[in-house]
Amino acid sequence: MITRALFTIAAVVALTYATGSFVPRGALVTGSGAALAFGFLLIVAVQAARICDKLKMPRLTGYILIGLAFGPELAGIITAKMLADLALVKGTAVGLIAFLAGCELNLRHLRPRLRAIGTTALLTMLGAVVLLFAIFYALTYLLPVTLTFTTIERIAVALVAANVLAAYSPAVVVGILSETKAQGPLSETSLSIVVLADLVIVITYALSSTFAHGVFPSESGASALSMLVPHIFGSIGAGLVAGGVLALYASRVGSRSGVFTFAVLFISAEAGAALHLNPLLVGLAAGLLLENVTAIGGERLSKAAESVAMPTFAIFFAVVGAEVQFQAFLHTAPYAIGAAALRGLGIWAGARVAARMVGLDAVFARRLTFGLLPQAGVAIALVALLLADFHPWGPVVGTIVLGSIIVNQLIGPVLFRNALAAAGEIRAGEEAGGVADGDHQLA
Amino acid sequence: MQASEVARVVIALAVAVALAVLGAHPRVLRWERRFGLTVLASSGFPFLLLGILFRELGVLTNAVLTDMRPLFEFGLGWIGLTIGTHLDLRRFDRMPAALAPVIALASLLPMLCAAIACSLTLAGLGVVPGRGLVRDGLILMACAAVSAPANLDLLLRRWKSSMQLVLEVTRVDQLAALGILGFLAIYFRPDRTVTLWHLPRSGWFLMTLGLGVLLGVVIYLLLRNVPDRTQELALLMGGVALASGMAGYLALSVAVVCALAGAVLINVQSGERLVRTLRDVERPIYFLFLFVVGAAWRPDEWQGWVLGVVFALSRGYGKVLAARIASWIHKDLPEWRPLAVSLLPESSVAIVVLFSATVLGGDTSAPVRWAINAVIVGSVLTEIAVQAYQRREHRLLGEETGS
Repeated sequence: MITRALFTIAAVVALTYATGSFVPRGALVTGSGAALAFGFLLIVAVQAARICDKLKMPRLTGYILIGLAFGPELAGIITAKMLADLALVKGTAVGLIAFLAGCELNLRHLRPRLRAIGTTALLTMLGAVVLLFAIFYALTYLLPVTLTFTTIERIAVALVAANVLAAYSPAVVVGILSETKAQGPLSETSLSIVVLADLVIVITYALSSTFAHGVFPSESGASALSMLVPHIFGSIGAGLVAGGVLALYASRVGSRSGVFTFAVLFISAEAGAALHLNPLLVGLAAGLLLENVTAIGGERLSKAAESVAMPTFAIFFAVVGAEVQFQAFLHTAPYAIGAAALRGLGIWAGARVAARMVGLDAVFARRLTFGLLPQAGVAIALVALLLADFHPWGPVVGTIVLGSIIVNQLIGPVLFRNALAAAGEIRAGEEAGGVADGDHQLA
Repeated sequence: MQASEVARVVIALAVAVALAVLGAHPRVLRWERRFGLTVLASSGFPFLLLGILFRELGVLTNAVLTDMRPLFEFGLGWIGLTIGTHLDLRRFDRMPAALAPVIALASLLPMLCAAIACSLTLAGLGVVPGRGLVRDGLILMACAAVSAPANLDLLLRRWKSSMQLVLEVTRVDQLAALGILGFLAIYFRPDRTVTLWHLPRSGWFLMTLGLGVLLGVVIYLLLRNVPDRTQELALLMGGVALASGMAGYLALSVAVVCALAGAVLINVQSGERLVRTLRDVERPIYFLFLFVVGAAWRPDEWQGWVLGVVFALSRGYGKVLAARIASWIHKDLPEWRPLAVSLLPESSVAIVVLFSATVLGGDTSAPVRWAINAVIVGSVLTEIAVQAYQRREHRLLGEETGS
């Protein structure tokens, strides 16, 4: 199996590389470059998934590594232009991932555990933010660009960086749960926490960056707080509209619901890119509406969307891997690894305290930590804002933050998969999945 | 883009997507089958009108179409692969050898008639050789080739054994159209001096063949022994995207390269499930192309109507001529009228040919606009003729059975 997958990767790489030699390096071929990159990444990512299955590793790690290996920074088969053309696929993927997460969150079902989930989310975030704030505050005394900063300026830098790095990854959690078909309390709690926490992170980032803009008034960029209301409420509104359309379609028409769901999310992503809507919030609001308000329920549409979910995940995470700035990471590796370690420590400590407060099992709390380690979509989106909004210190601090995200991106999925396996939830999911002919059921 | 423009584009795309999915609903398919209508003249027609409407509203701008180019190429690849799977040599082997000349005639004569008549009309309208006459003549020739197997249940009720023949003719028609499309892509290849490969036309011909066959083998290897359907679909999508991306990157005809890959695929494995998967998505893709072709349609240009009438008449004459000769040389076939009528309706593959040869390259010259009009008008006229014949047949059958 592994040999065949490697042979296929080699063949597709050779074909794509040969095609790339048609035009000089850097020349643009409109449209076809994106189709070529899409096909290449999808085929190679599926082969990587097969290898990962054999090695008992998460497929997501395989997708990310494939993107990293063939992206612009290393092999260069996928060029920066091709990646830019795939941005729409990425936006759709984020929307789909959030939609699937929303469809799995039945608030009535979760109500008895809402206090535990809320407390754990709050304390793990707090634990991570405190330690990250400390390390980034200390780093301002080491980085040349922040050496002359005043205390309040150092606080602003540390606050923004800690806020970005505190983000979790609903995308990775949904992706891992989807591929392993895991079911159980750990799966459900992890998913609930990452979704809830990322909503909070998006809001707190707007607050902390507004504070930073106040401290560095000469810097460009509008007040993030003034953008907050239209951004968040506009996204939620668009999501509710999309959810309503999907519910109407599912009840009145019903056929090809998966394709229709994908098309609706694609249009939301296209519109969202222009209207500055957050695809995560749009998808989540649509999924939550379907699962908790409509009679249709989220499960029907999330199952229908499964046929398009696998290729979407593969492309999304491969693109995430391809976007990794490997050279920059190498320069900041020690700081980045240190920040990632402290983040993990903060989450673990927060989970321990929360476990004592709400009466969770200590082993469960430890395993839960691993579900909160991965980072991807939201964190990367926030880093992009950090890099763009705060010159000259934004690019320097942002590179360290990005390095830390890379570490969490590569290690997080592996640890979470192992935690699910240790909790016996993967086996439970596989058994249920076998009965349902491969359909995944998260809840 | 302004917020109002974005809202317009979003609403337009949402309406198009909703209609495309609804148009592929089994109830619509049943309705079309019941009335013996082709996609082009029934559920597909609103997309053409929608295309015009959205052009007027400024929704389908060049920027939007450029953004959607990867999607178009993927769609062309998908349709190409589906058409390629018609070239199942095992099925051709099972056909009686005596039918080969009949199939060849039924495909070739309408193409030749339409090519000659339309070229003369274009020349009469002032399109001269060297300024698109040959190219536009060939495009119309390819569009004239494809026919949709409509009305079969009714028209061939008395000649059931001919059903397979009609189906084979329509399949060969589609392959012939793609052959012309491939020739067009090679012969009228855009001059890209910036590229690093400089090959003669024969080199590009071999390149098209080689790439198509190679990609067919690659897709076969990808899909061989795939454990589950989700992975199969992902790999099929990946294979089509890779093939269409490579062909588009090298400025080859995407549909032709993918059709070659499809032909290889169907002949090295028995791919019933694959064909089902391909056909399942085929219809919404046609709608998408109709939508975009609609945006390039100019029904207000009289030249297009003249060309449309000539196209419909010459194509119809070719079909009638082919049916008469076929009935004459092969006595087991139905009489020429029902055979000709069963081959008359225009297939939606014509829209794919048009799209691939004109709209994808951004060519909006007057002869191209007339050609688009000709194919649409020709399709509608043919459909009217077929419907009239069908009603007459219904009436006669009713009289015969006394019902």
